[in-house]
Amino acid sequence: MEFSLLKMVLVALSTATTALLSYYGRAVFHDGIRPIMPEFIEGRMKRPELASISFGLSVGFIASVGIAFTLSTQLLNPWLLFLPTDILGVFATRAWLAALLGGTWGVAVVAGISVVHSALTVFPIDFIGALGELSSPVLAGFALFPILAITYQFGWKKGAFSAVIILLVRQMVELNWILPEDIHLLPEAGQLFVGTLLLALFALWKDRGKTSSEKGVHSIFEKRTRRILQGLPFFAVTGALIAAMANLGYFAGSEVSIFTLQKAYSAADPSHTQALIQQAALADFLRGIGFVPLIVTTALTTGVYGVVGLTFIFPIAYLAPNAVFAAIGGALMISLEVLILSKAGKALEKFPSLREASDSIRTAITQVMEIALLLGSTLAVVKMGEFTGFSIFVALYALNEVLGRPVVRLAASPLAAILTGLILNLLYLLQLFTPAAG
Amino acid sequence: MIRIAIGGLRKEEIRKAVKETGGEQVETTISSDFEASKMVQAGKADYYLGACHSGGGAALSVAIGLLGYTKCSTVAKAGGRPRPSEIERLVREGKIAFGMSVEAIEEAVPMIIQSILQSSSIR
Repeated sequence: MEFSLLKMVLVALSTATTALLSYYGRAVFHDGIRPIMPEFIEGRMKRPELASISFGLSVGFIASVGIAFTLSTQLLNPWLLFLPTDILGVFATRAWLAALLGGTWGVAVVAGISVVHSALTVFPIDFIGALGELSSPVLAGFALFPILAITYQFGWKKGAFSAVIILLVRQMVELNWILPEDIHLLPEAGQLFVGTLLLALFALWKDRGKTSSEKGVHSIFEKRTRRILQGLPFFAVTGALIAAMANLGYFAGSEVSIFTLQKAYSAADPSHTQALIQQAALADFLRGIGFVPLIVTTALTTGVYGVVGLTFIFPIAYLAPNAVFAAIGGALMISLEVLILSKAGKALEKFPSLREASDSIRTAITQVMEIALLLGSTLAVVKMGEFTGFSIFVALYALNEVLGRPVVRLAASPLAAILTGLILNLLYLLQLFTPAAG
Repeated sequence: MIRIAIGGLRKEEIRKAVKETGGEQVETTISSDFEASKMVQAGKADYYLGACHSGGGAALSVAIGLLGYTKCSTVAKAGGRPRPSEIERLVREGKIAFGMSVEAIEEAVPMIIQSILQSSSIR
């Protein structure tokens, strides 16, 4: 990871802004802190208490997912940057202090990661390179989430039907039967598109003719929606900064895009890079759909928004031709999201199955991602140190399970793979291990 | 009969754990976080259970919005483990919505159901 001033400035600006948003109670990244915010805004809770709750809810994520994903891909991620700024923002007693703490965190992360990375490159056994193995299983695994989501929500028959269709689509794209020669589409993109379409159709079909029975939640929403609208200019600035960072290849939006983007940025063939970036954009777009109901509902009921909005700034940022366009696109997108927020809330009440689909989508995404990361990490440790690496890895992973999973499953595999790499290097230095390929 | 509404992630897993502990004494409904919280609000269910990655996000955020912060509690955060004594206290205090991290479902749900059944038999 090369060090650049632009990167440090952009990251520091974005973390300072998000810390300010949290300080003023306008937006937080963590969906679980949002509903607690009104307690603080309306005076029933003090800053120290809210800060300690935020810390408790986030620390496990920062320490596991945040660090593991960035160490294995060299790309920054929102858990690492914005969960801490949620905490710092509510902790700070003055606005300038919030901005200062937030900005300092950004600088510390960029500096810290680049130091760690240059330290890691001197190791005799290259384990950071081996972690590149994570990307292919993640790409292929993620593309299967619609099948799981459909089975989860609509039973095994529709699940099996969808599985067959999706497999057929995959092979037809792979063999170039349905697309013109000059269009580069990853088979996974076709799978995802068809799978999500089927999921949406099943949900709408189930809701046909139904109208929402319960009313009366809207009135309490009104005042709080206005509060979000007032924050629009600040959200636009945040959206622009984050989109610029993502476009410049400093930052990835989520677990479903980060490994794909890392592979894209290191691919030699430009058309391959382009296809992978498009795939990452599609992945984050679909993941975004899964999060819309949760973010919309929590935002409307609390008047506190998310610092990355509904997350649709990510795909725009990856696809934009340069950072300036990305920034403009990010600002416009996040503003548009805010403007349609209450409409989206009403639409969601009309289609309860779509709302349920979002739960199924998120459940399914985590399940496929856990499997993909476990298998990808296995490939990586075997590449690092054959079955010596494998045994160390399995021991570490199993230990976490037995201890009641102090590290969340999503991060357990990459973290265990990184530790395996460190242990292999230690064994090598002690002359207890020789890598196969020299 | 204790009626449990389930929202959030991995709802089937929660239902299984609820049924295994509560057997005939519990009735479960699986729904979205929003619908399930509304059921509790409307008195159509007694308790809400939900899981997500942190134990407080998708698991509980909508429930907090609808039922109020004082009625809800996260019993197992990401990286933490549920404690039976803590859960008993929360049930006694009258909390009606519980969130947990997905990693802790198997451990936390039986504790919650046992506490609920105990407190309801005393009443």
